[in-house]
Amino acid sequence: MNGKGKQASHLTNERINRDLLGPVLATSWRFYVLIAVSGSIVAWALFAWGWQLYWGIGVTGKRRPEFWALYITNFVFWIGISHAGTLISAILRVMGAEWRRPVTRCAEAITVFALLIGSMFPIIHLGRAWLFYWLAPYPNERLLWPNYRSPLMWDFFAINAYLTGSLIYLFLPLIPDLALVRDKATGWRRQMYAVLSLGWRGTETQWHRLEKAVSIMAIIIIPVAVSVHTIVSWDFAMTLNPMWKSTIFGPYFVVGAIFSGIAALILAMAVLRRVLHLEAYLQHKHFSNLALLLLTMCLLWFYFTFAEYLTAWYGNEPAEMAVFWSKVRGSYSPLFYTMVCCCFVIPVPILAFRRLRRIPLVAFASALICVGMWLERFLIVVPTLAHPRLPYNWRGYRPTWVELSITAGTFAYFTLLYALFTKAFPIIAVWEFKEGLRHESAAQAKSEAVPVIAD
Amino acid sequence: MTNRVHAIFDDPESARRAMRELIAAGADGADVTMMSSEPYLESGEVTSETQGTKIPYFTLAGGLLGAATGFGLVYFTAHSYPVVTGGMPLVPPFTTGIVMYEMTAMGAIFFALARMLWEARLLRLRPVREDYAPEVADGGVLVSVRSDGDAERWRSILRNAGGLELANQYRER
Repeated sequence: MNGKGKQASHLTNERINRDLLGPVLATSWRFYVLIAVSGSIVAWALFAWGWQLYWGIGVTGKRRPEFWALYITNFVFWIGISHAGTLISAILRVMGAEWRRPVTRCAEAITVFALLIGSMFPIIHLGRAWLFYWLAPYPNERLLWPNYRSPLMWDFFAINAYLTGSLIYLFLPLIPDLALVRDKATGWRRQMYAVLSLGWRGTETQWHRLEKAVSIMAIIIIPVAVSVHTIVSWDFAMTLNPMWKSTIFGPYFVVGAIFSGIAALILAMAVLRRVLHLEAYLQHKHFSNLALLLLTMCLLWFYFTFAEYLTAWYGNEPAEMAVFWSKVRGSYSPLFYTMVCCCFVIPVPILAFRRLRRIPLVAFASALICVGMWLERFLIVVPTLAHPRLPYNWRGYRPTWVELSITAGTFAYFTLLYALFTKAFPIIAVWEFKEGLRHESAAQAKSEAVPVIAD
Repeated sequence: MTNRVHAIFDDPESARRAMRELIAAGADGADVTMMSSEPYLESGEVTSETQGTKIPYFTLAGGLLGAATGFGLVYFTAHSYPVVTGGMPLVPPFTTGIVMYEMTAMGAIFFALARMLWEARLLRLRPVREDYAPEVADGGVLVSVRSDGDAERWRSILRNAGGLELANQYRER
């Protein structure tokens, strides 16, 4: 088993500081290569967006009746991925799961970047993107008042609440580590981290208040995270369109979001572990625990998907069946069966059998799940719009190079942001990890002290 | 600049022992502080530093204020420009509830953060320059005590408790 032999208990304070602060204090050539490659793709995506702004929304494949296509697919997908971090981290923290410690920051960073990317898409989706601020609820003199009865307005509040909460939830536990980097860095970096660490000294008061605030944030952020994807699902469910108007769309979306989020987290952890040589920190047990969580979400996702399709099929309502058959045996069926294979058929045995639950295979299954969940979002958005209730409006959808470039650009943008974050901040919470080691050795000493009753 | 005596210890137990001895020798509990790069809250406290937080009350107040703001935003916007809703309510409870829900969370988060920063005395860089030692980053536990004329006594107690006295607190590199 990869990394199984390396036990965290052999780690000294000095080595932990060296290993976890190393990527922040020193830069390898691979970092620059990654930045150059992902930066180039982002630059291309920006060009594509500029092209769209100049020539208008007609350069995309969006036509009547498919007004929501790849951009809204990406919006739903990235907001879903954002459930990887803060939600999972908060749940594990509230439950007092000790193994969470090396995982939480990797996860919380995913949330912030995925939310930033996801929330860009409603703006990219707008024909006149420069008027995006009309979405914001502020009084104005144009007699254009925000409609609080619209799910799109709820999105504005939910995403902003989640993004704000996630940023703070990421930043608070980062403060002691920023102080650690401040004490180790020199020159301008020392000045920068001195400002970022807000004057942290690690007094007992500061530790106590920090832990109190983080615990409270963890409790607040869980219902906010659940509400975000529920509200995203209501963008669809509040319409009367076939296969959208569903009472279970809220929980279905939340389950899908956590499912794709955990997959993204595992994938990110596997990459970080290999690139930054974090084998002693991101161990097999972390992947194994997350894989079991992923398996649970996989089965739940399958249950919800089955329930959705079963009720549509059983109802046999003509408008719903048109969408249903387009997915199951029509033009969208290759995507549908790829989704089923990626999200269920291939990952389940990998995640379920202990012998297969190895880090490379779990990472492979997670990558497939990310692909499958993107397809799932596409299959929710596009086939319904392509088959409106009046059949003479039916039409197929084909994305253009502009949409594909922007989509590729967001994945590169995510990589770029994550790489920059890893360069600027310790990607594993140093103090939390050390605290966990201390708890581990205390528990070990306690168990050894228990007298064994002889036969 | 306040006069303080600093000593670094290898472990929190020795540091706490030194703090108890300082207080027993007459130092005010409020003048004795322990600093570390990881929390040692589970091993018991010597001073009353960790008592009396008001973060939960501020969180609650923030949540209530957020909810009120959310309601106000919907109510006053809707009534400032009453669109024709065909007899439907201008401020429907379900949809208003969603905005209030998110604003409650926002309010609670902001207030918890603000109170935490205030109580932890963060956003101030001066104490780091005057009352800290970068040795903390290497795993040491720093004990700092205010020394108005008692510097020699405190030094002796800290030394006897196993502390390594630090001449100056924060050396610029």
